Amino acid sequence: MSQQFYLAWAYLKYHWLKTLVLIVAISLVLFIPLGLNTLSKKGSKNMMARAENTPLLVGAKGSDTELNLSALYFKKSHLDPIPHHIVSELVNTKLGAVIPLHLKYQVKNQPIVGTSSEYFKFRKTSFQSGRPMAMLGECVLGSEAAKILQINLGESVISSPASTFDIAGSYPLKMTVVGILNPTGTPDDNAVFTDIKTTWVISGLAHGHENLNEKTADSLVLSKSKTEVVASPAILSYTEITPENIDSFHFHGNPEEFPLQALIINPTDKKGSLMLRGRFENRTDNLHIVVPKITMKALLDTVLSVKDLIMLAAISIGIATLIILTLVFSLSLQLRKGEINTMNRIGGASNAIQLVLSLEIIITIGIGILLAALLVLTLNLYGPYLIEKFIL
Amino acid sequence: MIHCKDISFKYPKSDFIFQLADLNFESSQQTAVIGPSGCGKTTFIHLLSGILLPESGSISIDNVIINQYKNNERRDFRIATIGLIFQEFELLEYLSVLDNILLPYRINSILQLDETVKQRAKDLADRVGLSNKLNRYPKQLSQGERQRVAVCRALITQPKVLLCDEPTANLDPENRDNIINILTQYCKVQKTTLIVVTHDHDILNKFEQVVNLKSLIS
Repeated sequence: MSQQFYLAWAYLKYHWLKTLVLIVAISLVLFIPLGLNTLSKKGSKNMMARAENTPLLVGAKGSDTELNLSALYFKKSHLDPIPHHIVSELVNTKLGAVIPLHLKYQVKNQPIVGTSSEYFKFRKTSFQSGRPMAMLGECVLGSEAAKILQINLGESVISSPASTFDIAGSYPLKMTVVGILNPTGTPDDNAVFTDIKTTWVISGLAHGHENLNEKTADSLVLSKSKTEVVASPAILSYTEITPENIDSFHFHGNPEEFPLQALIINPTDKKGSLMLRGRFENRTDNLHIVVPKITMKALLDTVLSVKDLIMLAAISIGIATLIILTLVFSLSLQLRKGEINTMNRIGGASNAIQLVLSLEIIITIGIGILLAALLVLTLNLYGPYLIEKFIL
Repeated sequence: MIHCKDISFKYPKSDFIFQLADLNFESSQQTAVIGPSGCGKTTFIHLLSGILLPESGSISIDNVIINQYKNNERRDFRIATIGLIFQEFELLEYLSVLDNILLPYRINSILQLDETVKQRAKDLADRVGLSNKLNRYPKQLSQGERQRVAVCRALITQPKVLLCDEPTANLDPENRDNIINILTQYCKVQKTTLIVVTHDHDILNKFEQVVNLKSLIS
């Protein structure tokens, strides 16, 4: 058989372009439906896992899907803000733990998640090093974010302005990294976690600056009276919160009305969940509550029905391609009739000649299958990343 | 010795009938078979080699009646005993010169390919002036070189009988003489029976015997 394999391989090698085209066609015919299936299964599993681990979400009325994608996967969104006092309102119901989320800013391309340290307990994430944020201006990095930003414990990251033209607010704030999380395989790996109040500092709702008093230089003061000193824009605003200047940070306005993008609610029990959902049914304000599992299932059902259509198309194309391939192989045999005749006339054993021709087909299909399997395997490994990168 | 007796052959759906009463070729003899186009020269070579089977009569090579063999046995006998050279060379385009020469050893397991055979292939190629072109493909060779590769392929099995069907028809006079000299000299040294079907009368003086097929068939 080795001699026949040698001949078959020699033929395929000599006609490498034709062989390559056939191999690619075979592998694509197999890969497209299999890969799509793998991707959707893997994607569904990952997406559902995150949704199933988040019992309830509260956000401004609007798209359930957008609220889910934003609160669970930290995707850029335009969620309307909800006031901070909702947190205490919900905490007072004693129906579940409430975790606030502020999801507006970024450090380069890594999302800043303003939250409380309760978030880490809720997600059961552990620390690779360091501790949760405790002070204003501290942050915790997800494992992947630390790698991407090339930041170690004790170093600093700077928030990116929300918009080039956002002159009035979202100052770049230098935040000290006090903790790095262990990898979780979830969007948490890519996030920069900080305290809610720190995100308000970034947004300009809170700030710190040089102390103003009667002795402040006139050049830094717009007006001065016995009871009030009005600073001019020339006064030095702090872009980093340090133990030395932390006391100078203060809020302008009522923090209870400061914005959040979403709340995660972890109900005490099933009853608590139902009661919370019931209460939101009757609310007349701009808030609504969603069950991520239900929203994500509805989204996946839509995606899967589209996938089924694509699968149908891919299988149809696959069948057509296989018919064409069969035609190519049979035409190739016709064209090689002379060559087969020569081998017969020289005295080649008919089974050996058939084996040469069969091996050519087997090798081509085999490599095609192998390539398809490799592609599916790669997709299996990198599928969740691709889904997060390109689909979500 | 090759002995043909009362052979009759007819192609399906054809009026052509090949009939030959009696014809012998002595061992080691070098014979040219001539005859006009369409008289059955190629059919005769195919019958002698067992590619075609006569409807009646017998063909024996060294007292082995080949037309009594089964299909596979006849193939095995042919590849081990008979070397065949065709007018169109019939090399496999995807094999190198060396692999074309070794082809018989790759398509029938009764021949075992080993280092001795590979060395013999290289020696044969060297003898016909192809030693520096062993890795080339047929497309990269001239007509004369291709036919020399075909000659090496026929000789690699050290056949007792060498059957050539118009081996010089596609060659210029220089290459034609070169090929005929290679064949006759090899067969003389190896005591191989050589039968060359040709319509080229300029080469007949190279053979010990000339058979005019037209005078023998009815």
